[in-house]
Amino acid sequence: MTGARTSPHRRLLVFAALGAGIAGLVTASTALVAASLGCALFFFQAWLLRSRGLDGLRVQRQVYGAAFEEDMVGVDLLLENHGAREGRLIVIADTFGPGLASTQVALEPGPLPPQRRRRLQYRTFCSRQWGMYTVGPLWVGTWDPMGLFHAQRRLEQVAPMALYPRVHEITALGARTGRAALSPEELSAPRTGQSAFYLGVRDYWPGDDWRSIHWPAMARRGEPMVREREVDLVPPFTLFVDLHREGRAGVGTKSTLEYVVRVGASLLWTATRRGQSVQVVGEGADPLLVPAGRGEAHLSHALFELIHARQDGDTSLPDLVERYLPHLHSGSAAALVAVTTAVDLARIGYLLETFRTTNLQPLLIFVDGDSFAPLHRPRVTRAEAEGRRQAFVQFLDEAGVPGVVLGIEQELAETLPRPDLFGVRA
Amino acid sequence: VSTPAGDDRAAIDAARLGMVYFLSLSSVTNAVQAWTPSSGPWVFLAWAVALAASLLAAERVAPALETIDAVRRNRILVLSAIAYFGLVLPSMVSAVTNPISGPTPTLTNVLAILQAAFLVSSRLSEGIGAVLTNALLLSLLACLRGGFVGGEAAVVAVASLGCFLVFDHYSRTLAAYPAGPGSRLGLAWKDTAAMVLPAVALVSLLVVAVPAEPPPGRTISVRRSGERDIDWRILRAVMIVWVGGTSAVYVAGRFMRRRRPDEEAILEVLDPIRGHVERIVPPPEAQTPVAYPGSRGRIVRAYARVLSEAAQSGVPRAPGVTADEFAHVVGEPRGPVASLTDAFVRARYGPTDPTETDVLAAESAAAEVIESLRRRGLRDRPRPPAHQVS
Repeated sequence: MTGARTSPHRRLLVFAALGAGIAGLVTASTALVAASLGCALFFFQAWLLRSRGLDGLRVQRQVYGAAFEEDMVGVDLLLENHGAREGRLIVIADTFGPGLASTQVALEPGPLPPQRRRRLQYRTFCSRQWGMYTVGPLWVGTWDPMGLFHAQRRLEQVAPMALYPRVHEITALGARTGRAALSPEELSAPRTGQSAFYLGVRDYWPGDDWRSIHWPAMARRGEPMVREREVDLVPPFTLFVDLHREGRAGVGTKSTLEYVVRVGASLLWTATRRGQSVQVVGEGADPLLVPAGRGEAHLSHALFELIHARQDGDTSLPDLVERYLPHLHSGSAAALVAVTTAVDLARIGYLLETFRTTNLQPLLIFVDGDSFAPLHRPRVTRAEAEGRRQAFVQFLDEAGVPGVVLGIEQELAETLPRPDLFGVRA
Repeated sequence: VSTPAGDDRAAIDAARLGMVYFLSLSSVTNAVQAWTPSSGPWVFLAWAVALAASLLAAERVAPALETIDAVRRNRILVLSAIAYFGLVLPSMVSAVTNPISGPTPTLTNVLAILQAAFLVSSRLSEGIGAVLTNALLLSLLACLRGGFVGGEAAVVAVASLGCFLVFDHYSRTLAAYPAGPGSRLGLAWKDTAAMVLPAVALVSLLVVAVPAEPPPGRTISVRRSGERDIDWRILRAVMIVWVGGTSAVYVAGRFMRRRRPDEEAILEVLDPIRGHVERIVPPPEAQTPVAYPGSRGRIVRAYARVLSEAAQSGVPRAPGVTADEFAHVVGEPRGPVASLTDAFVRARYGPTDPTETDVLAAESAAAEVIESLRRRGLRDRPRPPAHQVS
């Protein structure tokens, strides 16, 4: 229980009580002394009643632990009165980290009888940038009936909240990776494949991936057994994210990490909304690996992992793609989100050739790191940066691969929804 | 300022307005009654009308006053405060030190007129500190008169001040935090009674127990009724004026603050959504163990004792673990554990009741297992098997 907020009339009441008392004593006026004592009694009663029923009040917060930027979020506060007194004019203050107006206050005017509870909900906007925030702690407070004293109690209810970047529907993605079905469709078929759906267990054959070994079945049978999965009718969408430390450039909302995360989130969102299963691969100091899956819960998991990504890895994007290429499903689409145009085009060409031979659909999204303020590398001249960019665009044109180069001058909110985002190269 | 339909903020605001009026009117009438000998019922009625008109005029001139910019408004307030205290404080000191021959009657009339003026301009500032200060000074003057009038002024001043503070608190709080529809007027009245009645009782007790004689040498109207210091005719008129005036101001306040059907809210705020009041569901009570009668019960109780001892030894039986799996977990001594488990399964699920021999054998086995568990202690307790997932 801390502090007291001064009522606007509290000071006046103090002066009135003191003035009447002094004047009464000076003039021997019983009425003035009595009036002074009456005011003093107000203070005494107010001080006694300032925390009336406060100890019996409990508050539980219920809020979904994730939201998108600029979302309106409803936070439920369950106010319970476990005390013996009726509660009235109860103020609950909550700290909502994802909002600029971080302190949210709700009033329960009462009466809230003992052993009763009421659900209050405040609604607020997630006005901050994407990232991890906290919600809480909570304060619950009451006044005396005259508002002369205020008492409040701090409740240590702090919960994390993930704020995902605002996503944009990338309409150009549909033209590259198949159409969304309006009618119900089978997502997989009960024959051996690589979907996320479980088909059964069989004996190990030489060449099977060790990661598919079913260890409990192997322990029971005493010989290697592997899981079999159904074949995917809608091939998964794979997002490769470049988290090499040398790609760091720019600050704040104009940084390569910002562009990578926002573009990646929009790609995942669009693919998920089209019914595709999505997976994410990246190599920072901590690996970013989200296995294939579909649905809102999986999207939320993928976005959660994505906003925790840091550009502190040592693996270049071509190395990363080469490493995971054998695990990509035939016929699936893979988006490569890189943070620099200073790449070995010959190697990229080799990778694209491999994609073509394995029936994979590549999608190249390169963030022009040279256009951002350099952090860990020397600044390149404007002509050199433009030369690299043009060379890369020309390479995309010649290879006939859908792709785009995003510079600092391009606003993602306007660029990503464009139908011709990936050009007409394919 | 208008309030949404279904919200009793309008009622609370109107009640607060009524309390401001009651505080002003009671202080003015008490001071006039104390220091103006010629005051009759019509004078009080005239003051009641004048103060009500001032208060309601303040509601009308409020939009015009709000257009004055903050700098100019603050300048006006500061100058007014300097002029007010420069004029009033010396007069108050003179009145307190020499109430009979001092400027008290004149000061009373000046303060009463200022009270009306402060009510008109009360919306110039955010609070109503000037109205309150002036009203308290008028009450102080009335108390200085002594006698019944002084005592009555003290009681009414404390009561009106207490009522105003409670309703002002409700009004400010409900204005600051949107609370949604509901009735709080009754709550405010309950709080008012709880806070004001003890103070009124205390003040009344004091002025009755230690009555102050009015200052000598001053003839005022209330003394004409004879030996007593009470003029019931005046007192009745004052009471009627207070109650009638306050009620009229409350009704007028409700009328003026109603929301017109075609009027839109000035600012759309996200009011918190409030659910219904529900009873807190107490946590479920612990299930009472099922009583097994006869020989089956004796074996089950023996097995339960082993479970309890095993739990204390660090090997609790998980809800999904069967008796045979638990026997495997406990391990040693294998013979007694196996026979006790077998007896328990037959007693719990078997078609026939166990014999006395079976019961004695099970109890003996249970005793051995318990003894073994106690000897073993926590250090070399058996480990549960690894959880297997298929």
